[in-house]
Amino acid sequence: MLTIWSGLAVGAIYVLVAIGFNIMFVASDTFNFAQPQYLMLGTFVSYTIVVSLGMPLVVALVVGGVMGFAVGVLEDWTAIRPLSGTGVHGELVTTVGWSVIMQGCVLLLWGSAPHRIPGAGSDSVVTLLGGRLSVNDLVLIALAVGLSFGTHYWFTHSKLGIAGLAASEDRQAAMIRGINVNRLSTGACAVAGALLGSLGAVVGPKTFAVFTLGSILVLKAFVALAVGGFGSFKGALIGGFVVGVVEALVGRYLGTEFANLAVFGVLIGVLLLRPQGLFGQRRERVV
Amino acid sequence: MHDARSLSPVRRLGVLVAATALVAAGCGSAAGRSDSSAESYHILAVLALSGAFQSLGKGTVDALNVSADLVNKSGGVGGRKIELEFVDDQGDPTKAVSILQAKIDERKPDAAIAGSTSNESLAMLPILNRNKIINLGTNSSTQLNDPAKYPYTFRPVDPNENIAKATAQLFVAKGYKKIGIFTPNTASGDSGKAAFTAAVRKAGLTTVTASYGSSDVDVTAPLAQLQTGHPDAVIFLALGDAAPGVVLSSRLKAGMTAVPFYGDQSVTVDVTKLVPPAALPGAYVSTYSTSIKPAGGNPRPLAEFIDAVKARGPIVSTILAYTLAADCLRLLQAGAKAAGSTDADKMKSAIENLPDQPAGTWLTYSRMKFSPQNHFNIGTVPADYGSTPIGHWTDGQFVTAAR
Amino acid sequence: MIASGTSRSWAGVVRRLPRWPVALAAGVLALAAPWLGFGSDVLRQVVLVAILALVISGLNLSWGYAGELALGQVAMYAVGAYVGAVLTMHDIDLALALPASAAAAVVVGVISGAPGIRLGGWGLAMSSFFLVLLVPDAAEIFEPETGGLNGLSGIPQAKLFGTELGETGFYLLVIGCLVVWLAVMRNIVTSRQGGLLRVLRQSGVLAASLGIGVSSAKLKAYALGAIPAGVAGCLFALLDGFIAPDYFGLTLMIAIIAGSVLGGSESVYGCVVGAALLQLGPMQVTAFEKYALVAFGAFLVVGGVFFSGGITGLISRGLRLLSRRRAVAAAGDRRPAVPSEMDPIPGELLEVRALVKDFGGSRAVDDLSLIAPAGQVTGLIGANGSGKTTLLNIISGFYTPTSGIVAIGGSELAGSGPHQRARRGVARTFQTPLIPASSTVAEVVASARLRRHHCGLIATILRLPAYRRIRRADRAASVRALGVLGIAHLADEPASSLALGTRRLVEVARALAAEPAVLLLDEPASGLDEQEVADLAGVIRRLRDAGATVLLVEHNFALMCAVSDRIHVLESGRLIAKGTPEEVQHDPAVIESYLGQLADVAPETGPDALEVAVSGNRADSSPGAGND
Repeated sequence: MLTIWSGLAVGAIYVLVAIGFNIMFVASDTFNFAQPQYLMLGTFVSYTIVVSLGMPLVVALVVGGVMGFAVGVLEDWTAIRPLSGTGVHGELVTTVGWSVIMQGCVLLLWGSAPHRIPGAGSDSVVTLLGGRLSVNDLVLIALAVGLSFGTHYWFTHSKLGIAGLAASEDRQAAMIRGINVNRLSTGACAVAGALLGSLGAVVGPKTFAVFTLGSILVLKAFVALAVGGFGSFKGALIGGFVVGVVEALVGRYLGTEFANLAVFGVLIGVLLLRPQGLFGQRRERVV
Repeated sequence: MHDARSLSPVRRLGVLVAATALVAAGCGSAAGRSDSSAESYHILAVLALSGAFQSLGKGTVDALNVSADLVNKSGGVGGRKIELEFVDDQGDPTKAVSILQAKIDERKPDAAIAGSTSNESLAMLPILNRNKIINLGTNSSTQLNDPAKYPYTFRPVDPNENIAKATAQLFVAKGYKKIGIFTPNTASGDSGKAAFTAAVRKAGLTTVTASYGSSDVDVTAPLAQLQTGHPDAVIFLALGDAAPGVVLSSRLKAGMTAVPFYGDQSVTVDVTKLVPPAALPGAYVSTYSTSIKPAGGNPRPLAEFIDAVKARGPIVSTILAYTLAADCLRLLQAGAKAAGSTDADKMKSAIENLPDQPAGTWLTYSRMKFSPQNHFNIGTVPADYGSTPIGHWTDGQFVTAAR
Repeated sequence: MIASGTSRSWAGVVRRLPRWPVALAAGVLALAAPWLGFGSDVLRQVVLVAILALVISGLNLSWGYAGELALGQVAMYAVGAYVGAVLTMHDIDLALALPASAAAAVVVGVISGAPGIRLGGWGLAMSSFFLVLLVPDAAEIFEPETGGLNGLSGIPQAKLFGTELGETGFYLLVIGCLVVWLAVMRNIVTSRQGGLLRVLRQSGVLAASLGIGVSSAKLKAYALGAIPAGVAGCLFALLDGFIAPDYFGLTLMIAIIAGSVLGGSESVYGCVVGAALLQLGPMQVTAFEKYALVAFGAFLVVGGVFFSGGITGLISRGLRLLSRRRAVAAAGDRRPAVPSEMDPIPGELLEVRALVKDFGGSRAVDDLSLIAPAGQVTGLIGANGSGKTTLLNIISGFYTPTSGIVAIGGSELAGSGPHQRARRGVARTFQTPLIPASSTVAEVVASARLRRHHCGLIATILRLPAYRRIRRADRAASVRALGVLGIAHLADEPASSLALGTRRLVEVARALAAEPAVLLLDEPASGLDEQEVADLAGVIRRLRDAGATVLLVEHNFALMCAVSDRIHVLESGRLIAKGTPEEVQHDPAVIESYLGQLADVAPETGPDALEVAVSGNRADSSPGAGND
């Protein structure tokens, strides 16, 4: 159980990043490879606020969110919007560029040394269902579950969310029906940025504020999404947890050198059986 | 438009070729240069001054500058003043070779400090040795220690086996029977695992091993695997600044606080700033004595050196990275003195048969010795190793007293 | 018709100019560089650019041309490097080690691409990208040979045919490899093999309907793309005599993708531009010292925004823009020239018997039987969702019927897939024309001949007489097919720039070039204006007169009545009426059911369809109808 809890806690981080990916994907049909860097930025912001300035965690949540929002808007304007609708995968390059820029800026401002952020609700360890885990891990897992259901509900029930779905389905049609596709894309980038920026305060206590965090998470979160199904928030949740738990179980019983191999196996297996992912929807029509 | 049309395709091609040739000629002539500083002893330092390994490289720069001043004051290398040249390879081995190649073309250095990481060094070795340039450094991959292939490569570091042996003896003295070895799955993690396993078994103890992903944020699962072997004590390697924190907080979660954990010399951060206080009891480091600040203060040469480095900027990594860099230059000085020349071949054999130097010559260890078969420092003595509870960390050293 | 025939504008001339002589000259110049007084550091940079260019070039082939987001290049490169290194350490000559590296990379390329047969787009991107993470693990597993994570050092100097290559020799080898590969790649992409890749990229459906085995074509693309990566890996391992898993990481993958995008993914020589940018650009960011990372990131963003589609793409787009006027004039020239005589088309009898198709719970086609004889136009009409397109998809093999039989020329077609059906002679057009981007009209039409007139890869690469013969035959056949439709003068136009009506004609020409036993036309008149519909009617009649078996699915009742010999009316998957146009027009069931229903769905099918259906006469057609 210890292993499973640890897998779920790490998986929760993948889930959070995958939700960020998904918001962008659903609203503007692009992948923002800089997404996990917002989480990284968030951890450093909360380090400064909680440790250096001694302010409460709530302030870190808010400031991290605001910063994530602002950077998100900036990224959309410079790296995503100029390419929207061109059809080439230019954003593969520009969002990676943003990711590098964000990493470089954090390195300049905070340096390469990792920093500890005290956890939400103390650093104490509890025993639950026969396995030990920290209170902060528990908060992370709960957040992952809550947020994925929350975003799912929002995207299927709010006007804005449905507009987003429509835009990713058919950009032209959405534009004709009066949806401002560009503003939607900016909004999604900002919201995803704000979400991950503020979550830094919760993830930081587990991972430390460290500038390599984004690069560590980007691929795994992406795999989580592929397993769960691109565009599905429930898929992001299950995919993230599956990847986290598989890694942990394999690391525990076979050795960590097989962890990536096992995740790869799961990815291939799932995709071959269900190319659209566990919860993804097929939107192809043959002719 | 008319002008463009008047150029036939063939002629346009001709213009292109001519232009390219012109550029080529320009580049060619720029390659010529004069060699004005024949008097100085030119040392080229190819280091990671930006990017992920920048803290490693920057420390080396300060240490080399301080050490060069001291060496120059005491007569330089074979009577020639050291002239340092620093270039940044961003920690990228391919870039390191490119830069080195360009620099050698421009002006062949007398010696080189080649690379911050082992990969940079390994990529540069063939060129350096082909050009007979004595090359040193602070990194310690065992592949660097191959005098048959790389005769001009030396390292002031002791071979991995020595520190592993010292740690194993420590475990024997403490009465532990079964030792857990917990290493990251990286190059240095692997060689560390091999060295520790061999040393611990040689000391008559049994081992249980597990490895973790070097960038993992939670290593509870592999720790649980280690736990099933019920080790009496664990030695762990932790490459990267966050890793010791990750290992020790996962240890807390896995409920292994009753088992003493020893970090090896790779633990070079203030762990107290990374983990909650509850994770610290029973956590130690087993490392070089130089990395531990004695209660009574550092010996004089080291204290002076640290002050001089701090005058240039804060100490950003382990003091070992600084003292080893400084010892590289001292080794060149001692080698040239013993050889009576700065000729690379003569210096090479002089270093292989280096006589004992006066006390206080070396900052990292008490002694330096090399052999034609071994170009790592095999002269260390037991007093060069020590252990201490993981505590506060000041100026690149663990502070024994504070806890 | 002011600018008919060949263009006189200089930009047009430049655009048409073959680029290979320029590239070859550049290659020769690069080969001569060691004797032009360059320092070895400059030569080293050129070598690094060339090695990176090789890897990028492989990605361009599989991604840029074949459209497969297979991003396993780093893994192929790594495998090539390790195989090259290990063989060289065992004292094996480069003459053997280099091909071995390429072969090993091909194996990895095919394995990493294999999921792509089922997956598309991001799923494939993910599974191939993930291979990057497995490189260190693989090195670890094969540690005795690979040196594990510590890497492999002390790889000896390269030997080719027994002689040790010096610095200059190695330089020549690397540049030689690049030049040879680019020549190979150019010969592939400018040939019908390149056309095949473009068809694949445009749509798997199109590929299958042209008789191309999609799986094997995809695998071929992955395999081809892996060759330069493997060669590059081998060369890289020998360059510094040291490799380690750290070399083959995410950073490299980013550089490869960025190089591909910046240089232009769909270009032969763009890889060199991209590689030079990536190799030399970041080299300079060292000058920014601590701002190096930020500078590199900014470089990627700025490059990505301004050069997406590639620098080479930028240049050719510029040239195209300058020679635009003419293209517009040509595209506007819809009125067919005098069509040439149509060769006889040996149509065969198409029979559909008791066909049933269920989707989940709903029955899309219900006990349907019809016969389409050769030399006749058989019409199929019905409201949206009445099962027309489903029937076409069953005939062309995209759907497997729940029960029932499809037969051509008396032989049953049970169980064969779309590409096998196509090979049996089923040719079709699509509701939305599927025309590969960046192909000329003649190339689009010739793509129908890929299956019947096979030309080997070797013959293509070496431009053997066999290749040239087929190339000439392709050209002749395309021009002939275009000629009978009266659009032969458009043969060298970029097909995707044509008006909708012309694109439909191009599709018909493509179907004709396939020498079809059965010709399926799926709503060919939708979106066409009055004149175009009239032209189309003429074309269909002439197809019939030449002996073709035509199955026409159409909403345009007037057109249907004008050209069909017999009309079948479908409703909810069932046949409710059949007969000559007159009989059907006066069939009470049809009037009540179909025409009534059509009025209901009219807003979706557009006002034109409604008016035509009711009055049989087209009142108004907007000229913009062709702009979809």
